[in-house]
Amino acid sequence: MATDTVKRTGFGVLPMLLLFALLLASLTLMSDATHNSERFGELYSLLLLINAMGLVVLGALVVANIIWLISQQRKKAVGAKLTTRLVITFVVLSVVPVSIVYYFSLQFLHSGIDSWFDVRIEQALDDALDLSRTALDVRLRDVLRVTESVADEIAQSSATTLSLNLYDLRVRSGAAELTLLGSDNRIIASSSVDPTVIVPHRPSNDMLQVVHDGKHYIGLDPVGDTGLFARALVPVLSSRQDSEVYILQALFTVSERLSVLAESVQSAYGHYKELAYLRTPLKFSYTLTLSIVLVLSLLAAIWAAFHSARRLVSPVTDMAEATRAIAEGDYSKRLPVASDDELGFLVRSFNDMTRRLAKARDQARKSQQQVEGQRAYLEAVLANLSSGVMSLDADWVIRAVNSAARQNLGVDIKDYLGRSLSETGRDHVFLRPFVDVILRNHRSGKKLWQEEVSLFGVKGRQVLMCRGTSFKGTNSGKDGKVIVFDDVTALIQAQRDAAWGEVARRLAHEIKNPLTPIQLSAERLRRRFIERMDKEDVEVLDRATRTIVNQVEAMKKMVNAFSEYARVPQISMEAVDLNMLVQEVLELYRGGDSRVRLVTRLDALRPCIEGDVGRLRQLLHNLIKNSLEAVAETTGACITVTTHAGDESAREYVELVIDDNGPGFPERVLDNLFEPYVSTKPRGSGLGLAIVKKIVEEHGGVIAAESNPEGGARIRIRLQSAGVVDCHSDSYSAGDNRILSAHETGI
Amino acid sequence: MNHGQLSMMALLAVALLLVPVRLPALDGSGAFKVTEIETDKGDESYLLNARMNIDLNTGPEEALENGIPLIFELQIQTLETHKWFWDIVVAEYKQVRQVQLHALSRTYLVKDLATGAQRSYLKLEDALQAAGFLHDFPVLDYSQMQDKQSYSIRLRGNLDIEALPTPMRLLAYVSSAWDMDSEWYQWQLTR
Repeated sequence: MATDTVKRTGFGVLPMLLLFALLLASLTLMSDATHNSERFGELYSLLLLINAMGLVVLGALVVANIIWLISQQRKKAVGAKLTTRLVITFVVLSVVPVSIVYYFSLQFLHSGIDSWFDVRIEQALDDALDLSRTALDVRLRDVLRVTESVADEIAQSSATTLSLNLYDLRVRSGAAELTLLGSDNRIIASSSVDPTVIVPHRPSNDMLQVVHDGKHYIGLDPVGDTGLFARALVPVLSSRQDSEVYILQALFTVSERLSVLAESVQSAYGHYKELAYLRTPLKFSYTLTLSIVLVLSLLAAIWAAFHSARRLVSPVTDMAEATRAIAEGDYSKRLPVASDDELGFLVRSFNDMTRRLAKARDQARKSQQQVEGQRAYLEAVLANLSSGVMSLDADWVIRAVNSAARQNLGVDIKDYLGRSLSETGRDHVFLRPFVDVILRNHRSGKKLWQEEVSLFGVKGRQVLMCRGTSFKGTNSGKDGKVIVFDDVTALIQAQRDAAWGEVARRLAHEIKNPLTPIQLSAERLRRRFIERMDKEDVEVLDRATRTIVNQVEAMKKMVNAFSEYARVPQISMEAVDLNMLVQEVLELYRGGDSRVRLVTRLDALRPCIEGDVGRLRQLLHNLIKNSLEAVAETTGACITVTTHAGDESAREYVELVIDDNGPGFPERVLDNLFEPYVSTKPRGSGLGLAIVKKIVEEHGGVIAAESNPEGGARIRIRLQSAGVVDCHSDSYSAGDNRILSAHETGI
Repeated sequence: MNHGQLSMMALLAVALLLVPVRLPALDGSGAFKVTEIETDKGDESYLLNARMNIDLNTGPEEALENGIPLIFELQIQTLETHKWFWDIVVAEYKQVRQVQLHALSRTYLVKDLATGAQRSYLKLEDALQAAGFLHDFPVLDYSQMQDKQSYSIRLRGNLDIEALPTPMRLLAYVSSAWDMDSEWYQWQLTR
């Protein structure tokens, strides 16, 4: 965490504060040194260098920060714009007041320094110096006069006594030091009031040059630390034979009072002169110091602006990045809590939120896995169910189906997922009864319903046992529906077969078996008693026994007929040319009753079906017989047999339709016309159409009876097509074009 | 590159920029010119007598005329010279002379800051000549000398900017008029 913070700030706060403090201390010392203070004056250049280096370091840091910010801007990094805005705000807030203070400080500084200097003071100091010189000039003239007189005396004294005389002369004249110099500037003799002075104070060459030029030199001379002296140099014009020109130098003290005052004036004048000369450099130094303070403040402020902006923006940047990570699904992101302020609170709240989101995500994932597991389990169960399952939403849109649904319906119902149930009925006409049953039952508001529905599907006639219920929808809140349907065609057939077989067995056992003894008993009664009875009784007995025998015979026939109906025949399926079969059967009826017209309208394509020829022949016989019986009382009777190959929903079928113009079916029997013992004829067995239906069902077909609107009955049988070519023998060739070959004969 | 790395690179660049500032020695403008030089054998050591002319530019002269004392340093080094080896400094001396105008007496005072000896001169040239004059200055004790070893002496002078009043130093450092450091003047000591 600590390294993160240091990385974020770029340069640690503590080093920066230390640097700033050092620079500030250095500036304070430099400011002191600018006043020419004794303490730090010697360090001025070093302090200046330290400050310059510090400023360069600070400047480099600021430049680095600016470059960093520009690169962040170019990269469109998160938080770069906010950082820039904050930095600009901070910099403006600091630069403006500091610059104003700097400007006015400079003004005050320059005017303050200027105010130190005054022309009058300068003039007064010049005058004071002149006054000092004038005051000293009197003394200098005295000194020169005394020196000249001493020189005269030396000129008259002998060389041997010169040294002794010099001492006397010095004492008498009041000189501090008398020195006699030879022409080559060597010291001939010297006498000093100060016994410690071994070497006399020699005049400089330029002073000697004045004397060599024939003039006298007189001047003030500050000799060491002893104060002002008056120095006089005069030639000694000796009358001696050696004629060497000596030079006498005399040093006279100036009165202490005068010396102190003159030195004071000299010192003040020198100091003022120096100060006046240093006026411009001093201004420059102060301006420089102030400018360094300004630049230091500005750079520190800019750096602080960067630091503060980054510190402020850092949590926001982190949060933006974390938000992006969360948006991308990464909930593991946690932000460092750097402070206890509102931002810290925000970061903590954000972390809590992320933690909860991650927890919720994990729970959701777990739940989803459970749901998916359950769904997979359900799908596995549904896939392995033999029952078709279909779920619908409130708007009758198919939401789910299992694979058994496709097998049961014969349509790839999965293609209709997300589409309306009605569309399946529209696209596959044979499914309409199925769709209608579902719609009707659900619209009736039944919670749970069950109904059989017959379809003529791919596999021919199909009976589906449909069960439906509603369930509470999860998304919309509306009720959804689930429909379970089983193909019970084979089951029903088997049940029916078993039932009728049982009935037939019982009939044979319970009814047929007693019939023979009854018949035999009746015949024996007749044979035994007919000869012994009188004529009247014989007639009765004969009529009774005949009736018994006839009725028993009739019952036998009825039982046989029923047995025939209930029998489950061994069907041998083969390809059958339906046209040929129709013609073959109808041939038996031609040439019979000429009042009945027999019309055939056979499909020129000569459709084939898979079927048992014997059973189909029986079917045709039953139907034609029924029709003949129906039109027996009709004038202009006509029976029409039509075959037609067609397809529906890419499903090929063959239709056999038998029309007559008889009285048609009464409304009351139409619903159960094909049930056994339902007949419209007074002498009908009631098994004819039942057998027909049984045969149709054995062939996987459907049968329907209806009354023609223009009168008469119509039986329509639809069987599964087996193609149109293979079953045809050459003897049943038809025309090339597909036309209905109509043939009309009287029976 | 993150912000921290950028800052460290900037500091490194600054450090590299600052290094050369301290490296080159300022090239002398030749304000100090050796006009006379000789070494004499003294009783115990070799004695140096040298005369250096100091030419003042306008800036320093103006400062002097306005009462600013100028301090000149004369550096003398005695070296053991080697043919295949660098020279070794055997002895090193520094003479510091201050030249100042005395307004009241209208003289220039030349003071040896080591001994405190002071003399006054009427003319600036004489004062400067005195400041650059070395008389019988012992440079090498006989006791320090080795047989067959050759020795050389070198001399240079400079104006002590650090001795100037504080406000003037920066200007003196940056102005060429104040750059009076001379090159070493070196000669072989003949035995």
